[in-house]
Amino acid sequence: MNTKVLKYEGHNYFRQRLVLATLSGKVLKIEKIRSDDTNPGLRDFEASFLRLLEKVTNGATIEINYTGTSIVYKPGVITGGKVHHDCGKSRAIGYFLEPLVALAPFSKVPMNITLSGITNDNVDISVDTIRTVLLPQLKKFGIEEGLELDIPNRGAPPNGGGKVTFRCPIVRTLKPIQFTDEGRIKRIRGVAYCTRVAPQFSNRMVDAARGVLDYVNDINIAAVHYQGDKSGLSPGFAISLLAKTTTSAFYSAEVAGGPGQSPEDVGLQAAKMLLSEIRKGGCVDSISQTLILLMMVLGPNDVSKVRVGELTPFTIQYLRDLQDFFGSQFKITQEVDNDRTHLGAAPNTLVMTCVGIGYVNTNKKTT
Amino acid sequence: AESVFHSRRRPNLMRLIYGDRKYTPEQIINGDLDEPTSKDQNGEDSDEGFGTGPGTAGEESDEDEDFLTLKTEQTDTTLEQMIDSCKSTLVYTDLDEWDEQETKDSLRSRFITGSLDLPGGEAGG
Repeated sequence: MNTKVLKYEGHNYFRQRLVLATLSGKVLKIEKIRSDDTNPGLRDFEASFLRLLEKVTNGATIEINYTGTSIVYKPGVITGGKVHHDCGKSRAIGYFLEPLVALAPFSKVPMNITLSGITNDNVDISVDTIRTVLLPQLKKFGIEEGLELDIPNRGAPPNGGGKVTFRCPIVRTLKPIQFTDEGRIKRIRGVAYCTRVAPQFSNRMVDAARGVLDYVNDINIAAVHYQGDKSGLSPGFAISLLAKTTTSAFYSAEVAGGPGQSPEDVGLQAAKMLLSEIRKGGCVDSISQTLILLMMVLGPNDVSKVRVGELTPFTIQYLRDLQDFFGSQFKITQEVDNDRTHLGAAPNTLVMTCVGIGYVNTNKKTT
Repeated sequence: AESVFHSRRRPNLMRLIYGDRKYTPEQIINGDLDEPTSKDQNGEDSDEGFGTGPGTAGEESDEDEDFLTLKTEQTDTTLEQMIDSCKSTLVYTDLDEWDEQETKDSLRSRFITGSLDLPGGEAGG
């Protein structure tokens, strides 16, 4: 590294680079953001994310050039606290919440963030999945007390109108994890919700999903119908499913219904996606891969080990960015178990091993 | 055939990810690696390896293959990559296979209710 400025090009992986820059304290420069596009520069949701980042940090400077095609970000300290942010309608709340989940544990005071906008869509991970899948992953690293996500109001695309409140405790250091036993699936949970459509939609999604997931008896999918001012501004319905194993590994899938889709189709599709996710195996599903890997890197100077299914392209770029920002490499061991010596395990998994950099949240006072 | 596939791929995954980064993440996942014989590093594009090589929008010619970088990725990849979401990778197209009982049974051993004696069947995709 010749300078401390990390340079990237393009608008891809925008959020993760800003998050990593904030955590590592490195100056980040992103150039050529849609410079060849007919409508060049940052999109409104990216600018919105920058504003959110300014709200939860102190001392950060963001320089954006005239056309918005390049930004220089000098991170400040993560202050947290009580923040409200309107996420707009171009991206769902998950777009904003997902990076916040990675930042929140290292804040100065515990975050208490209210986000309004679209709660579920098919582009970003839904608030349900963040609540049931991503947040429990943090618990494995020792972030537990007071970690919660309330979803008082739903908001379906296109008009949104949903609201969530995210509270996260702060930690000084993380615990390393050793998580290579994926166990076997013992229960399936889920949430199906609908707003401004017939209340039966939820039940129909649940019934369709249950029909496919007839492997275990312990299936509990909550069917919720939101009414009145809790139901947001647009009609919509979605289902989020979660399979939990004996060793507390999670697999998740979710689908949001759109106009013209029947609730049965949505339920069936979600259930099949869950099966595909289960087949990939590993202790961590695709959605949580990046968060887990980040927390492993930030862990103490100790070996963390986790078994994952197939890596996603998103994760591969994340691995590269992690190396750029923190200099840590993962050791990736491919384990092929064609003989199925370990019964119940997926045949093809990767074991990701790394030594944490010993990240310390210097903002948190030791008492 | 499967074992051959994996024996070829296994030692390379780390190098593909952390090596000279001439492949985009999508290419690595899809196994879309041209010239598998020249796995060795070609030397170029080592300035931090951020994929700022000279490859431009006029991709797909063979010389450009070596320079496949973030720049080309930007113009080259599907809509999913453009939207910056970890969920994009969850969009499956081949969900119909789950309508077949055989496919469904192949997962049975992953559940606590499944028999431990069953040899699971072929679950590989």
